Amino acid sequence: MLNDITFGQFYPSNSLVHKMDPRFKLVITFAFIIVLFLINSIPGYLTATVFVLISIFASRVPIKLLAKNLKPLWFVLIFMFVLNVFLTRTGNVLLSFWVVKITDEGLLRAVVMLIRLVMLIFFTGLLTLTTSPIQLTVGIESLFSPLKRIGFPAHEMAMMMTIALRFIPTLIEETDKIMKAQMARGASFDTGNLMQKAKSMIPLLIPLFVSAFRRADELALAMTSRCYRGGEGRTRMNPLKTGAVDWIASAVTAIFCGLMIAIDLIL
Amino acid sequence: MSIKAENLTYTYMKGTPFEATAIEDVSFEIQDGEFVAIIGHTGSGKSTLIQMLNGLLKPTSGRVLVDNVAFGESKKDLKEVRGKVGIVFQYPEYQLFEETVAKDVAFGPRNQGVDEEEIEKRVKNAIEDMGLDYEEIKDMSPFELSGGQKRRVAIAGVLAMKPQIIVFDEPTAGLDPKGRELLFARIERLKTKGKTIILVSHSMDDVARLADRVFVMYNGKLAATGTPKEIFCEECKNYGLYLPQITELVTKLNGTGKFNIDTGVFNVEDVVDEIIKEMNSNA
Repeated sequence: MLNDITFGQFYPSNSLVHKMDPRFKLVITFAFIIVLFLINSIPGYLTATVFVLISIFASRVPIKLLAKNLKPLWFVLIFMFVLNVFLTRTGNVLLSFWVVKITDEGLLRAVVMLIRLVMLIFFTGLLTLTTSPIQLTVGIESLFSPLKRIGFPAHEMAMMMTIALRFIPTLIEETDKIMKAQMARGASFDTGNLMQKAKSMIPLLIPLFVSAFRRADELALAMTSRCYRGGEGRTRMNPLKTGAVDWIASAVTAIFCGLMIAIDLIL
Repeated sequence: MSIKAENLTYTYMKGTPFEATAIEDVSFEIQDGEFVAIIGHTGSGKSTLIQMLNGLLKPTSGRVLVDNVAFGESKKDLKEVRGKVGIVFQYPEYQLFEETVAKDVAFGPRNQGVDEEEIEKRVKNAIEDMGLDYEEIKDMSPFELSGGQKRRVAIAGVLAMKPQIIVFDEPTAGLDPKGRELLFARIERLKTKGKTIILVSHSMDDVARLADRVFVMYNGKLAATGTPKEIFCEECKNYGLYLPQITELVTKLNGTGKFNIDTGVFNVEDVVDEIIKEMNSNA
């Protein structure tokens, strides 16, 4: 039932993008998204598309897998497109009937918006597909660590994320078990109105909470008995390493971002 | 009540790259009042198999007949079959959730739509069937009980539904020796009351002692069935199983040529008697 869900979408491979330092990947993604929202013209977006395609090619992630991310969002995408086409009143009228007026500007804006969102989804998808959740957390911790000086708990936050990620599959499994046990006792989780459905969750949620607390307790004990005492002076088994590929990727990103802005300004 | 499986096959995540066949073409028949044990090492498909017996998992192909009636997927069918076939999962105490023991045990029968008077009677019977004092614990929170008591209350929750066929998945896992003995005694008593028992276990000693028949699962297939005596011979080691300690001893003694003890005896006291008898006659 629930074991049909595969969590996380890391796609293991040995590509250059996979080997990159997660910190660089995070910064590059962030920078690219900002530029993506700065530009406004079709040629600018074509340049962005080229950049995204090069990245996908370098990561060796099947494009099909990335396209999967669009699936839950297709409705939003179409909705945005239609809204932009029909509600833009400025520009030259291309087509007009009854109260509907389609203008060239509206069409342009709709296409730009669509490309912008699709590129956004593809590029962020590429980040999670090529970076394991653990690596991502390490990267985030490292990027936030300068804030430690002003009291920001970077290590604690990263540790919490790691633990949460680690326990998602465990809790899914546990939920499945408890659901089955209660179903064997005649419980049903999908009948009745909203109120009854909410009520039918009690036999599932209470055991789940009890077990989550028990696990938390056991984990805390296990960590303490292995001398865990927070991030102070803690080293990593696999320290983050920055290599040539990271600098090259950064340079390529910078060039493309510059290109996108320049093309956008000129045209 | 009898239960029959016809060519059961179960495939996880069918149609994805993660497709895996957990159960392949399993057929068997268990008679009314029989005590059957299912053994097999981890991952052999035991858990998947038992979940199909009351419709928690729908077989990819094949069907299950309870009391010679096949059941479908309708809510009514499933409700009915879950009343007939009770499953006690591993560590059932983790499914407790109510404020009081009595309320928790009543959860099953209440879902079945049994009237309040009957529910109370069933709850009392079920708790007593598990060897607990109804008056003493009925108003306690299930979370206040000891581990062994929790386990028995959880089992009572299944018994209160009055299933005629009860499946136990490793019911004694994590219990101390005394708790094991107590629980097995209670399970044996259920058998004498006419219930059909299916026990999934890793403990060959318990299986040999308790079961009328043993099913051996191996790589998702029903590899062998037979009485404990038939199953527990040298051959069973092929399925990654081991002999009950007592059978291991008897086999070794017989191997010396000085003894000829029946390998179908699994009770320690009986084997001791046999050994003493033969030693006396040898002397």
